[in-house]
Amino acid sequence: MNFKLLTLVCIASLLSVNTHSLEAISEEALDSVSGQNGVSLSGELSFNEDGGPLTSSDVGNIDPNDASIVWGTCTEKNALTADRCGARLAVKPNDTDGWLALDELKGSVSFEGLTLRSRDIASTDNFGGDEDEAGITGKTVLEIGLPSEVKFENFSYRYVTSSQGRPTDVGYKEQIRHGINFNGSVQMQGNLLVFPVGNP
Amino acid sequence: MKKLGFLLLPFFSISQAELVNLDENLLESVSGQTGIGINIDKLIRLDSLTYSDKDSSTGGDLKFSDVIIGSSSDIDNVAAHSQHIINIDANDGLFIDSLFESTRIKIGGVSVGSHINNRSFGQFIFDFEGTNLLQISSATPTGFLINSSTNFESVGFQWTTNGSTFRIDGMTIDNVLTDAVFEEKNIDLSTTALVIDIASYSSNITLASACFSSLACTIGNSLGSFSRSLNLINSQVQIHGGGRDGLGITMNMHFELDASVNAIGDGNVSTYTDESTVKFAKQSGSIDVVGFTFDIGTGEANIGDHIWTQFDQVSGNFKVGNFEIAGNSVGELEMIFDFSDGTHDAVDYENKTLIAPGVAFAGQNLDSINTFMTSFYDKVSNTSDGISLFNEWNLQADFIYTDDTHSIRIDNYQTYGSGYATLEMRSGGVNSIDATNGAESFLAIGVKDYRVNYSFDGFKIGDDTSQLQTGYELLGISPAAEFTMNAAIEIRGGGANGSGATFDGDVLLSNANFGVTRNSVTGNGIYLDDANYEFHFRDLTLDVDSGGIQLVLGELWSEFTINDVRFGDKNTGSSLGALVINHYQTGSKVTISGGGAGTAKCVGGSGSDLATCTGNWIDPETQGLTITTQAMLQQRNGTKENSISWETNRTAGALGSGTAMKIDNIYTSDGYDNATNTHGIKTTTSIDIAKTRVLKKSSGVDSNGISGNEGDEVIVSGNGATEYTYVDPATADKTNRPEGLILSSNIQIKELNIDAVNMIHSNATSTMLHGVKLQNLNMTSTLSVTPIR
Repeated sequence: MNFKLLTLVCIASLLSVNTHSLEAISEEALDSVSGQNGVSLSGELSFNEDGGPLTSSDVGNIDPNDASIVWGTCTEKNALTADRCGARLAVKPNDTDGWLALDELKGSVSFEGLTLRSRDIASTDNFGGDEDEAGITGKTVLEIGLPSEVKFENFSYRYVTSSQGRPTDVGYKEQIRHGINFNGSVQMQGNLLVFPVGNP
Repeated sequence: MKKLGFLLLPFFSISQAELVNLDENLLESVSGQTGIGINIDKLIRLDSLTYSDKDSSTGGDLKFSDVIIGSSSDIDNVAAHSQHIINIDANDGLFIDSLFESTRIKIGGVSVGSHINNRSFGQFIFDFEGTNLLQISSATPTGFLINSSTNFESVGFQWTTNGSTFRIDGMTIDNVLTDAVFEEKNIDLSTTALVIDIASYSSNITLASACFSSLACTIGNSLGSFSRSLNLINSQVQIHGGGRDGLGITMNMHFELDASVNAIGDGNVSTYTDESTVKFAKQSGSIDVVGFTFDIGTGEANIGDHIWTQFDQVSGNFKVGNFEIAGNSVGELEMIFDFSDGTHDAVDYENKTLIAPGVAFAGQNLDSINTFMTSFYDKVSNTSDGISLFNEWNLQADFIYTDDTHSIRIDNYQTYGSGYATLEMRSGGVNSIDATNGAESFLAIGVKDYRVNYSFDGFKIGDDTSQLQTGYELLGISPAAEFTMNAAIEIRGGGANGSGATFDGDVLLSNANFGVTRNSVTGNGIYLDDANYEFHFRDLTLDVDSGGIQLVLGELWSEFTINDVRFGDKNTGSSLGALVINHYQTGSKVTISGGGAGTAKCVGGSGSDLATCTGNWIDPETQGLTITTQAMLQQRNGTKENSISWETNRTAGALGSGTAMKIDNIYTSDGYDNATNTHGIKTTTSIDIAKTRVLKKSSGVDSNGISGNEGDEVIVSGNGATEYTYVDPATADKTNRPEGLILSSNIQIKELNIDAVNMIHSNATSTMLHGVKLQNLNMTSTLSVTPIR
């Protein structure tokens, strides 16, 4: 297959987000909140570390263009005996044209201190004046406390457009638009508040 | 009560001897024994035996009809033989040494009050043979001192309704009662009771098989085998006359499991064995029953006259020291419980069970609930035999699970509710909710208007002093729920392989509200309000093999309609709109096995042990629980489908009046076409409790008043909510990291398809996406779950 891969390597980028739906953490402000609610999560997600459940011995696992093996382990891919080992998510936006896909998704992401809880917004809570515009005073929100650090290790994917949904479908053609290979960490601060608005 | 039944079992054999005349000729054939030898050949018929607590205004009759005692080989024509040697010793009192040859007790019918001669609980048969040694002497200072040893084998039990039978084969019973003192005592200023102080009691029971058949159980139709070993010490039973209403019986009881037997082997243990064994070993604890009453009640609105059992309080704790599945340990389970009367929303809830003969809802049109309820009760009549129940309860409890010495507590669990249920045996596909079933017999369970309410405050990892947290969301557990359950469920013997169980069912949870996450102080949270969950399962099999508890789900389809996803109050909070979730699966599987993730790992870093790991060292050790699933999502088949619909902007909140986004026809396939579907979504999730790293998110004082700098580690000095400090990671004692709930999972998908994502308004559909395909996903995750500090 003919494709181009654009690799971006980001090391220790620092992300600071502050919108009206994000709230800077004030630990002192939490003093008035009983610590009897919510949960703090730390962990790691790993995608297709050595391939997925589609294997090189599967019936039908053939590239319709060059008869190569499409799916295999990452060891097989590195040995050039299989074309791919990552996950693929493809969507078809309209009835007549092709597919958009995140392809060859693999690598790992780890994070520290992602918090989840329901929170009652009091009139004394200050969101820099945005609380009136958002109209959340007195409401209960789902508060997602962004993790203090997110680390990426060989996290990569490529964005492609393709003629068919499956790489093994007859007539499959694809065009790689760009690729990402992400190593490093992102530091975050703030809370994401999720709440209903409008007519349910 | 179950325990009481076994306590009294040794004495049932004595009372039988009083029912017959002594045969002096047979007595002569017994020789070479000290004392008196008695041989008895029993062939006894009783037309009826009636217990009554009827007085001028309350109570009623409990009638046993057509009672026959004879030989198991031919109860109508052959007498049951027993031999008794009676000896009186000046020092040790009266000895009665009994040998029972094969004996059958048959009860033709049991009924209550106005149901007598109309419908019955069914017919019962009890077979046994064995020995009983009874010693009665004087206790000090008063009463009778009783010791007994009972060894029964080839014990069988049969319960028959409407020509179909449930039976237990090959049961053995070995009971030893040691130094039980029977005496009459004043238990309060106005009450005199028979008080039985039990120094020690042991009971070993095994059941070779149980099945739904009039013939002996086979491997293919057996539910499996069971055993139980129970040892009690320092226990007491008080019995006195007078029920909750007029005449009747009242009992107070204290039972204490003898934990000393747990030092060797399994100790107090209950097991279920199919191809492999599930074991609840090393049981300990105690239970107090206060004010248990037995009456005959009258005129309940749906079940009529009934046996009325109720207690004022049942409290205590029960611990299983080792819960094991197929040889692999899950850990330790403990329940601290208190069933007492309570009031919720101005309604009083008591702990009582009313039991009536027959099938209370037979032949009723229950279409207003669901047509499956009408269809289920159409297959019996108002003279059919069976058991009808009304149950009401109020419970507060804590549940504790300990994994490799690390504990998690479900804190302040409360539940209350009431409802009806019916049980009877049926046979054949024509009487089944699935007409394709065969001619075999099965247990039919109906559940009607069972209103269930429960809530718990959250998890505590450590002990009762530890900080409360959520985390149940990640396990799919609702922290609070209320719903009305109506159901038709059938249970057959035999699983996917050999013995086991097979289930068919139609279940409706209506008028429901489920919490997703909840603040235990304010009660506010995220709730699924005004929900109806209707689900159906066919040919769901349960087996236990070397891999663990195996559930093969056969065919499963459901519709979960949530009228409002509310933020805030569970009934009035702001709504996110409505959700409708449909499921359709065939051939899906679930495996539950002992042992957790097992392998220690350095999460988010590198290193091979606690000292060298640059990330979070997680060591799940050996115990834990692992759940493996394979979900086979099928393409739309008529009204059965996998889909998710979210609707907003409705008129007066009416479903279907707004604009919906529907993720339509979700199904799995094997990656190369839409038709081949053998892989599905495979998941493996392990649940452990283990030490984990927790870092401070920002400098300052946290919600518990403990100060530290951003990036410092939590190091604990105890389980208490504030028993920790923040320490620079470079100098932190990593061995004193806090404990957390550890969820390790892997998900594998060959191909997951979505046919379309549609926008629907006033029945006009516009397609947003014409297809979605997720292929070759293999995602592994490790999450550590701790409280927000």
